Amino acid sequence: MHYAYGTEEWEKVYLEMVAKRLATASKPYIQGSPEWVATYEKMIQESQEYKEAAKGWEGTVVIHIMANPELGLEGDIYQLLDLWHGECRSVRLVPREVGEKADYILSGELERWEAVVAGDLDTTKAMMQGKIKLKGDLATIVRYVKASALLTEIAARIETKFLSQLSEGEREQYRKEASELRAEVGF
Amino acid sequence: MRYGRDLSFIYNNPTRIIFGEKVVREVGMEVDSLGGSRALVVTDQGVVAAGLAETVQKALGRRYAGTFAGGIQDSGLHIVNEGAAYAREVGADVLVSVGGGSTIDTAKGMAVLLKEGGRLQDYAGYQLLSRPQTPHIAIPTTAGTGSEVTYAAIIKDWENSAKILFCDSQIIPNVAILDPLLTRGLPPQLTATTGMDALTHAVEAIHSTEREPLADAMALHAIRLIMAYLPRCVERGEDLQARGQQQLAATMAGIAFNNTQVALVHAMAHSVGALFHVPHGLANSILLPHVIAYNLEDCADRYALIAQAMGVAAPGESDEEAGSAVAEAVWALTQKMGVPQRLRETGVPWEGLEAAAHRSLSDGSIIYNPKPIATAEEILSVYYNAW
Repeated sequence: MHYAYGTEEWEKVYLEMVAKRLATASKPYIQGSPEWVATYEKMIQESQEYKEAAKGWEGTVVIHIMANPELGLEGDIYQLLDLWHGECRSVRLVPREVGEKADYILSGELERWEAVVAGDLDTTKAMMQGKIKLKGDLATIVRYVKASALLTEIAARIETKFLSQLSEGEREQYRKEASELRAEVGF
Repeated sequence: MRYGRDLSFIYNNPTRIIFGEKVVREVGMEVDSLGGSRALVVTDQGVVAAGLAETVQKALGRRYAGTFAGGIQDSGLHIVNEGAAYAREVGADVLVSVGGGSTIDTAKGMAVLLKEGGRLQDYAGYQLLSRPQTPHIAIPTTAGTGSEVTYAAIIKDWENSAKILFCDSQIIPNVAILDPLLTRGLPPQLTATTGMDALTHAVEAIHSTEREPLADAMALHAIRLIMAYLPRCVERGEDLQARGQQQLAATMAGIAFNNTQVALVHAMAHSVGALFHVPHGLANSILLPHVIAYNLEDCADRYALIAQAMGVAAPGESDEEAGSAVAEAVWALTQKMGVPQRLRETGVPWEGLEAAAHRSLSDGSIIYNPKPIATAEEILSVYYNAW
């Protein structure tokens, strides 16, 4: 039985789970895994350039990666970025019901997000072409286009292993762990 | 430059385009082709008064389900809601918009509500729809906006004084009917300013950060047609050949920017439009040469292409010189057509420019400008020059 997102218990369980995985998982981390997300959080928090570019930004952003069972992703992933005036307060994997309430939601197929993180797909172009969908107030987000681009650039700097690169054995292991996480923390 | 990230593109132009004198008669058959049987005409009172809605009504014959003539210059959520409710009431399964860009945008919004239900503002954003919407045939009565072939609609939230932008490939009209007879009644000033809107679309498509060769081809030929035929349309409104070629130019420029986006000229024009009610085409017309001058150091090679299309390129000149020639040619064109060349002539106060500059920073078009813009001061310098 998992705890409700937003409660102290949930946060405690989440952080313990991340710490445990960071201690044991081998690099490069799999895109969207708790250890990858924790690395992403740390890198955003350490970026002076991001702090400067996102000075006035208020609002939560969700990166929504759509399920792709064939590649091992049985359910959708929602990465919630809690961003406030240049600070990255946290990046968490959250349940769907939480992710869908974010101020801005960027949705796309797994292969699109793999291309973004690999540095092969520009998010602005991807939105224009319908490869990534954006829900939210465009007028606000365009004021912070540099900050948005930096978030993408930071993700591209993470040494990443993509789901499409996993062997069948690794994929099976990923499925098993993802199922356990769903039971433990609800995503 | 890499193919994956920088040079790759998707060219999308799904609209069936029907062009020619009296082709408005084809509208009934197009309704049939779309599988519809009850077509609602979406229009405005001006188009009704000009008798153009009635022409379409007759052409629809037995398929005519009614007319919603609630279109206004800045269409609003309440108008789209009202139109969709009426469409449901009369059992419409196809929308036929007859009018300018705002009317076509109204029909795009109605098409979404008829298919998806709910509130239109829930679909604000980029590419949120996942299935075809209610079939839509667009019959433009101006030659400038290109809305008949684009994936964008701007609908105003009058309660909150905000413009909501919808960008979705699913709202591109299925059919565009371009009949020069429908634009010959446009007064000279409106012909000139809507025509300059088309020229701005073409130039911005070429200098946009998302530029690509197929859109370039559309935009460059649109420029050739505009330079040749727009002044003729203004001088002799009855010249159907000129009217038709200008219509094609506007649609081609629309196809171009639908694939590459517009940039700083539009961001700035939207702002003075919202704050001081400067008509969109006129604002674009005034700002265009100033933005070209501003962008020149970042994309002179693009303006050199435009100079060739405009017929103002001189042998042996540099790209920068060609870019300056483009700005000069735009001024010469507007002067010839009697279009105001200064923002101060349109009622924009000097002290209002700062607010306009700040507002422009929130306009979606700005991110596609070839010269990156980070501060309102950069925009303000362009406004000052244009004032």
